[in-house]
Amino acid sequence: MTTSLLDVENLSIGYHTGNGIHLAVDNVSFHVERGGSLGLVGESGCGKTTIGMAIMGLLPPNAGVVSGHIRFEGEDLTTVDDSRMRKIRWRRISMIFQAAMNALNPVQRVQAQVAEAIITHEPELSRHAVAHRTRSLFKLVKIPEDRLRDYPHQFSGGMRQRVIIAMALACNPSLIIADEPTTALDVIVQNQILKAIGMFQKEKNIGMIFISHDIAVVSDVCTHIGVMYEGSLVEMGRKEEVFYCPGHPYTRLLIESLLTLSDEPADLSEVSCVIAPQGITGDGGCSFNETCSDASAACRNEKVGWVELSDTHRVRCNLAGKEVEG
Amino acid sequence: MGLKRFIIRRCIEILVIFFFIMTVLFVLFRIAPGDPVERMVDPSMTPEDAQLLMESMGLDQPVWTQYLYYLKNVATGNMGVSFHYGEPVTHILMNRLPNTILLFTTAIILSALLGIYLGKIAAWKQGGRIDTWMTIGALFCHTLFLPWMALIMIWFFAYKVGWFPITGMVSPAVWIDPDTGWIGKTIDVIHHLMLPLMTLIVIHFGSYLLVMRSSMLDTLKDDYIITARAKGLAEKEIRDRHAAPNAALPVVTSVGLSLAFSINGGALTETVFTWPGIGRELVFAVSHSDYPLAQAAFLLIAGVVLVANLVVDVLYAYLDPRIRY
Amino acid sequence: MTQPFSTTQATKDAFGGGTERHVPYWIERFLDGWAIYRKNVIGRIGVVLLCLFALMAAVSYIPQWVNPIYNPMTGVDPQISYSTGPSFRHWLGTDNIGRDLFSQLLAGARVAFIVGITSALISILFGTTIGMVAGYYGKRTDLILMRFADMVMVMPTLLVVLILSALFGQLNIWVIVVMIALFRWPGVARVIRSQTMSLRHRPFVEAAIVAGASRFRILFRHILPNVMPLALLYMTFRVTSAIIIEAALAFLGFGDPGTVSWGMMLQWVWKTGHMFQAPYWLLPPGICISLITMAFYMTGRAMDDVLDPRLREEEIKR
Repeated sequence: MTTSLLDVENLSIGYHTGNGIHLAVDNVSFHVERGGSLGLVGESGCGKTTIGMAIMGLLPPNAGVVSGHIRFEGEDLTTVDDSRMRKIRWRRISMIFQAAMNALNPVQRVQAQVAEAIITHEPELSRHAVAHRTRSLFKLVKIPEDRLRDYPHQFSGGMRQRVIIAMALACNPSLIIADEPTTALDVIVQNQILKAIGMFQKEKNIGMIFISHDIAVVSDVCTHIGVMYEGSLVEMGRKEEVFYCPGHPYTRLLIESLLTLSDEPADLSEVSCVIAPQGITGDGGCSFNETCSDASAACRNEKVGWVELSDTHRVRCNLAGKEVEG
Repeated sequence: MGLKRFIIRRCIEILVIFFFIMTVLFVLFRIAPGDPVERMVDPSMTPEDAQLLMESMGLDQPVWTQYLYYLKNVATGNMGVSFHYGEPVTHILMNRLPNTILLFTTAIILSALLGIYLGKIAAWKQGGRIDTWMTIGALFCHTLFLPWMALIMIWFFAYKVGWFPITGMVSPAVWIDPDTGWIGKTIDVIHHLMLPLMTLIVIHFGSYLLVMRSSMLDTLKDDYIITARAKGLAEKEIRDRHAAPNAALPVVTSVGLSLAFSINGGALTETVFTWPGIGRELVFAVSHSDYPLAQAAFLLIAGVVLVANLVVDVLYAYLDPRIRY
Repeated sequence: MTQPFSTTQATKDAFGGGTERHVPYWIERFLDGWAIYRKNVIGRIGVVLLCLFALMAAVSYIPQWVNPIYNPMTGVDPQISYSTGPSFRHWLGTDNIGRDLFSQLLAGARVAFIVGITSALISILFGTTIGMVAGYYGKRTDLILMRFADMVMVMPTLLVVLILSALFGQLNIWVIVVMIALFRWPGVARVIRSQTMSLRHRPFVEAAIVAGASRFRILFRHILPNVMPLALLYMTFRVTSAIIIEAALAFLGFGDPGTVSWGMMLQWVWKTGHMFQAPYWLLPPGICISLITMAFYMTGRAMDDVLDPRLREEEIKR
């Protein structure tokens, strides 16, 4: 296997609950190339954020990697110790958080919060150099210089998101994990932010994992798309392949619901039957079988494997490739 | 500018509350059994002096006029003459005010800082042995009965060990000696201050610790803590730079809410340690039926509580940038 | 408007599904709460301490019945004319005129309970009523009541009662109890008010409004049962502050001269200058005041856990 920037192999992550371990991520594998971008799509609770947190080594105390590896630039992140992980964080893998949440400290000036990341990882820099880099970062994300000393609450959602992007770029990382960065922003701002993220990613040749519940957003910025359902990756491929010829019924559902929203009054009968994830069903069949309109007895009972639709496009559905549909 | 308007609005509110308290006090002094005139004029005064005083307070006028006189006198600080000291009460109390402020503010600030510091550590080690013992210790100190605690402190530190003087604020010997400079005098006051201060801190830090602990536990669940962690900050930096400043804000609020409680404790402490402050003066006046002094001391204390409330509010607005606009 | 579904559901939540099962439901709810409460170590210690103090209060009548020299107020041991340490005849020793300290301590427990619980009940009654009215009526009523509450809240209760006792002479213990209660309601009122405000828009209250129930009925029949647990919780904290204020007042020499409270005992040991010579006299009343306030406080904190579902979830998760 060639060394990609990031290689996730058979990763399973479990949460300890009152009754045993609940798998939130089940046997997921993917890789991101240098400068490449992968979008992870799925409904909330499907485990996509958990993957991001696992790569950062920030899983909550009651969660842990059960099996599998995360190889970043050849180093296995599931085995490194805390102090090494701290050095990797932000310096080499940084994160763009959702601005609608309190990702910025409310009582610190935005300038200080960006500078803090630089000072932590490059303590040898002079104060002047840090200030200079901070200013140029803000210029890059188009925040006027006179607002550097403001507090987060004085910014609009879009500007806060820019601050977070500036912060993520502060140490020239080689991988950025963007976790729902445009959720809760209005459409125009969302568009600007997406453009900005895409531009920096290409310009600086940064690898990116873009986590979102919105397949349209993901297909805007990413070269590859992975679709997740209840903790498993169910489809993986280049963006054109996944978006224009989806192989998995869940992907089709995602894309269809997107189209109906923009065209005509939505027929939500199909969407509303997507039940809340109830955990991984284990070995007994496809986890999507209860929602899938084409499910057969085989789907319920047989284990599903990957079906290769092309060199770059895989689907985890027994029916895939057998019938051709829009 | 937002802050300025906020302060002005709070000042107006405080004036209204103070006016209300003044009025209630006036009414109470008139409806209480006994002669209101006798209550304000020292029976041992010469008739001429008494007549003069009565005129300046409007005591020979109808009640409504008396009320107007009373408002004017409070505003100008003419609150009568103390029966016991034979001096104008304003004069006595202004003499005592700095002492009270010295004890009260140092006690509140130090106990809040101690509570914040220990609460931070307790929350950080949540569920651990340090946390358990700190919580129990805080609960214990918080529920100690203050005057008793003061007596125990005196008994142990002043009587058994003899580290600190038993009572008072200064040792006359030091102050009479012409050779003592201001440094010697300051040290002498601090020496006397230690015991009452320690007593007040022991009583107060516990509740601040408990507030800080639970607020810190909430803060640690916030998203910017994850950001800080993702930035690769060391755990200690996350605790001190990101979690603690946010978590300390509710402690400031609780300092404001417990001010009335603290001033009660202040009066008790001053009394037990014979610290020459307003609280002790009030207790003394009440037990010696020195009505003019009691009335003025009470009004002054109410004023101090209100102003302290304002200070806490402004401090909060200053510490939390979100409040400013 | 509200659907029948949510109405029945919410009403069931509040009343256990109708009047005929009213009493069993309360017992059930109490037992549920008790089951959670029992797991709390702090709460258990609190209850044990409270039982101990209740026992002290209950047996406080026995010594003087055994022998009049054990009367806490008037009983003087004819053989003793100065303060003596613990002995078989006087378990905790005597004060400087030969009164038995142990029986004084027992009587103090009685006074503490009377003062604490009556005063807390009165202030809870005030606080709950005012809070419910302010929260339910809102608008100007709310504004006026809450401003008034703020005003009372900034007043240092102890000093207010001091001034009153200066003006009206020695205060009777019941007057003290009422005075403390009158100045300790605003905190309760605030909490109950915000609880009422959130209850007001719950389906079962809106349903009752639609059904044409009178305001009085809505307040006392629908809202009161739901704010009751919170009021009870605040009662434990009010008991604590009432006991402390009464003790402090007695300590300063303004207590009811007809009662023997712990604060009074401390005043005697302090005023007679025995604090350095008689630790057996100085320590017990102070420890008792501190412990009883701690016991009520612990009970309150544990009750808080029972009432706060957020904490309960966390407990299960761990």
